[in-house]
Amino acid sequence: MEIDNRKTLKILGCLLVAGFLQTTLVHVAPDWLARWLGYIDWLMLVTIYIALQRNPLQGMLTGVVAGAIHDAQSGMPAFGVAGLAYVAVAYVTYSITALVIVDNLLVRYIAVAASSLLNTSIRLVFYALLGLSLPVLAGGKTVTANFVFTLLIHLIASTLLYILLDRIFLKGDDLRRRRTLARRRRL
Amino acid sequence: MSIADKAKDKAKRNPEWMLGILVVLHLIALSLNRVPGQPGVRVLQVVLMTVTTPFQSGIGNSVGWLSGQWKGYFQLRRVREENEWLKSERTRLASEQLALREQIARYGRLGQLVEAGDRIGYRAIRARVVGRDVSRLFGTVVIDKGSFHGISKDQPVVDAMGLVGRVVFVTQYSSRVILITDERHGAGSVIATTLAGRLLGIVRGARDSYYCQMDFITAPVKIDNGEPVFTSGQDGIYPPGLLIGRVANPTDQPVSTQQRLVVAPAAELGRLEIVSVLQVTREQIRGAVDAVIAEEQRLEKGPINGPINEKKR
Repeated sequence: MEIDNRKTLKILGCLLVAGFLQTTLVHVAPDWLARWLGYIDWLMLVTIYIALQRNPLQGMLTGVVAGAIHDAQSGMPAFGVAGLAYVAVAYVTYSITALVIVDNLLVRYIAVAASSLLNTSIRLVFYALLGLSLPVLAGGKTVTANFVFTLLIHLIASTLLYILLDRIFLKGDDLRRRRTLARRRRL
Repeated sequence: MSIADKAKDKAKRNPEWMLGILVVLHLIALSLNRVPGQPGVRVLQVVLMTVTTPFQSGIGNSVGWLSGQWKGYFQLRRVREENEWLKSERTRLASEQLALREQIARYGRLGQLVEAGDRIGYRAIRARVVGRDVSRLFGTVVIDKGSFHGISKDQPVVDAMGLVGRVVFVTQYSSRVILITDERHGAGSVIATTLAGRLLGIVRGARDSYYCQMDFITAPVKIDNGEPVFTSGQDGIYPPGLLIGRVANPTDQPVSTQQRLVVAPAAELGRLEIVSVLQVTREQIRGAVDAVIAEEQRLEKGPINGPINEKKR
């Protein structure tokens, strides 16, 4: 129980940081970087990571909280859209991990790619239904461009972010096992 | 195991349920958002309205249709009742119209009778035919006036068209009239022709016929159908000049030189309703006959008709 609570706190902390990054990073980063950073959905990446832990309940609840943080900060009259998208993302990620037993980088990439596309699709649909436009689309990008840039930037960001999250969430043995596995693959 | 642990366990085993619940909750949260550009309207209202409008419309249409059918049914019932009432009303009006027509016809006949009476120049008592002799073909009729009204035996009876017959039996308040078609009836008659002058004869009833027959006293000449036959006044019962009928020989014999002619009565003996009983005395008849003869003689001697009559002879 104590371990669960600690993990929950970690998740909450990660989500808060992700939310902070999502709202402030774009403004503090240089312009050339900010354009790319604007496409990164840090909260989604955290949700995907939690869902990759093969705990669907935890993943989906993380999605709910992440969605609430996102919608609370976005200031758009569309409360619930992000949560819905993150819950769907968590479920899809869990479904992928349920299909593929092994846990490696490829699975993570597949999960991130599928989740990214799904997240963007859901948001596009619901924002359109509510008569709103995606924040990233407001810059004049087309939908296709939005899909492609989002996918690419999420794959890159997830690689870096998940290394950090592995350090936070995985226990010592798991981390060692994972590193050993990675070293063997390189050899 | 607490309820929360059970729920967690169930959610782990069936994540689809959890997904469904969360999706529904998020949709509810979404529906609570306000519509962009319309701060007073929530998405929920729009969604509910969008979702419920077709049903509402369908229900409204169905209710409207049912209501229309119901109203139509009642209207139909009312229409049926109204139809029944109209039918009875139509029947009533038709009978009323018939009665009115009858009355108009009666007044018309009465008017004609008055005019005829005026033309004849004799005092007349108008009477209604109240009975017919069923034993023979319109042989006699009963009228509703009798001796109390001044009617006496052998008084001539006419209608607006011509001679009907004469009174043969009188009671206090009714009388029996023998028609000119009765074989027992006879009347002095005359046909005024252009070539032969006055052809005298006797008009009698024919057995079982609606027609009369005229037997000539003088030698017959060619007489066309449609020639009028008048009373001659020489029988002392009928004053001269009353129209008895017209010559109506069978169509294949339009011109007759026979001793006996068929005469179609001028009076509508089959539809007698109102008749006039002429209050004419024998003296009056005799005087009228004398006047006719005198007039005839005057015409024969007259400057205009003289040569023609001479030529005829």
